[in-house]
Amino acid sequence: MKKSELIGALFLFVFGGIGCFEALKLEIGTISNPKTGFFPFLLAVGLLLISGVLIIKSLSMREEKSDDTPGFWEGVPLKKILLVVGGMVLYGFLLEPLGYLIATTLLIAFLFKVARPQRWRWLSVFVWSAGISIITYVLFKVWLQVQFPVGLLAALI
Amino acid sequence: MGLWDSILYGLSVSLSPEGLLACFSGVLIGTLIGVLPGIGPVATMSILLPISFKMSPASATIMMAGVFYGAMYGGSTTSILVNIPGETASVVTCLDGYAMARKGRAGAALGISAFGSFIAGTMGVMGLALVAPPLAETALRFGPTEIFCVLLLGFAMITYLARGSTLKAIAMGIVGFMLATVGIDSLSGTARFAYGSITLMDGLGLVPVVMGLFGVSEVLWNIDKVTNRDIFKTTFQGLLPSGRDWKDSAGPIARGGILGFFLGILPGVGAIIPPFISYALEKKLSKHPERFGTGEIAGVAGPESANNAATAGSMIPLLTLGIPPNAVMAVLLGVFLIHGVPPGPNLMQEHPEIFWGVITSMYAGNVMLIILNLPLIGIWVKLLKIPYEILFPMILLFCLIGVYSVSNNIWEITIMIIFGVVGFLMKKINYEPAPLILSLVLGRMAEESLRQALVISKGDLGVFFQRPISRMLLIFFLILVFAPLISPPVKRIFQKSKQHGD
Repeated sequence: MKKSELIGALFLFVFGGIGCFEALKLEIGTISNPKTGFFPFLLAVGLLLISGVLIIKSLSMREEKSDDTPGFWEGVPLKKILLVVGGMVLYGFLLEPLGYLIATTLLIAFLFKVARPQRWRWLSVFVWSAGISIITYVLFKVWLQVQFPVGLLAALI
Repeated sequence: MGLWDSILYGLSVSLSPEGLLACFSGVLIGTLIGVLPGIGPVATMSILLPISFKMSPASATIMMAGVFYGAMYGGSTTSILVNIPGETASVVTCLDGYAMARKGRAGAALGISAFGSFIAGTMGVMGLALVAPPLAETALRFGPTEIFCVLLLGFAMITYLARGSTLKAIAMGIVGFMLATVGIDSLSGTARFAYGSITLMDGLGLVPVVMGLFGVSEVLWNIDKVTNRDIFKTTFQGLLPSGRDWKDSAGPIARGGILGFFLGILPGVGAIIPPFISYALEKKLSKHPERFGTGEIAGVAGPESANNAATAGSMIPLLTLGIPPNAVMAVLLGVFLIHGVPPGPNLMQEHPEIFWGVITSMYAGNVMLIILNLPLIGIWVKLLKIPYEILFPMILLFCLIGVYSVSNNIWEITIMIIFGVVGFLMKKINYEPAPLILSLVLGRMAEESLRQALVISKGDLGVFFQRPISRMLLIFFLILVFAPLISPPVKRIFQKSKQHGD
């Protein structure tokens, strides 16, 4: 069986199951008179069926077993990706308390460092990223009139 | 309005300062991302969604369309010079285009590719102007029954032609529909799957999902993957192809244009499949098929024309029926929805400024593109040297700001990131995002039209077969579902391009 396929199909199966369960809590109605829960239920059942087939298929797929075969995460810079995702999530939560300028400077600096750890020194990174945040701030706030949180900087005003 | 009057009206929209600026920005950005590998038109359009808010619907549409066909021009540049396709529709151009560059004929390749794109693009736009209005007239007779059937058919085609496993594509479509049900049910007013969260009660926003699934996931996918190659150092004398080149390319351009236009109309095809089919066609028709792959100009002229004509063709279902035939058009549909423009058969009547504005802007756009692509090629080549490590933080920042600017809700940022990760994992195990996006966008419409149709017919399901148009659509649907069992050759053609498409 091919593990990655199986896991994917299992996820879908679980998703379908949850969907079914939740849809049943709503009124279903009949096919001639569908109510709120009708479609979600139908869809969830469909998903269960299809993911069931995918599960069975994945069980019968042969895992490519040889020493040359790359593992699932081969070629994927997992650490970088996790850092990038983590950085973005953190940005989302820090954006309002810290304000746009500070949060963005931190984010860009972080991302540049993650991308090429050796190439950047902390100081130049911060200078560049502060510059970028200011430029984008002007771009978005002035030109496109986006509302940005001021955050910490409000204390300075 | 007669055709000529409509075109003049459209020109008044597209040649206005706002329209021209939108068109120019669109084609410029399109060329840029077409040249740069690692980001494609769908991701870019998704990222531009928030910016499009500030524009009028017509200008927003003009800009987005410009990004799409602009990317087709830009993509050929990297294919020819670096053997890396700037985006998927230009994969075929790598074959003979790069070979020509190696022979010192990069100039001719670039030139014929730009001119071919221009000619075919213009052909496509003219086709669009001629075919769309009558089709839109027919579409006016569409009620909820017909709309549901069209959606069903479109969805079937997209899953049928999806690259990779059809089952997986259907599963993705179902997931998309399920996600579309999150929020307040319009026909009954009850909240579904909202779990008390105010964010979710509004429904899963199209913007965070699309930006996450296409934008963020593409960046995550390409971290570390996009390396700099040596750009072909040719000093090309001129970008004008020789007379001989023109002679050899005239047929391919014409055929590619027609082929691309008609194929682009079909749901699920987009601009990616036509170039492959054009290449195969030209090879079959050529007097020297063995030369293909060594630098045969027909192998560049045909596909490049096909992908540009296909962009025009793929706009037809969206502009006339409100049905997006592929992921790019689905994002464009999202633009309409965000601006409160109800897509559908009435678009031409109720928003002629969008309809004719876009069509006429494509003329202007093609002209701008040929100016941008030929003389300015040196600039694009220099841009290829920007390392991805600098680009991707900027792209991610635009995504983050973009999502935030739509609703000022940090939870939407989180939703976007979640879908970014999901999109990445999906790519890893070969699940297509396109059907998911399509059904997310269309899901509400599909459910509503089905329920409306049933309300009108008082629960009678037979109504779908009684009304002539929907009966016809349903028959197509059934043919499509059972076709693979009946005609293996048809499926084989598409299978072949599926494999190359990855």
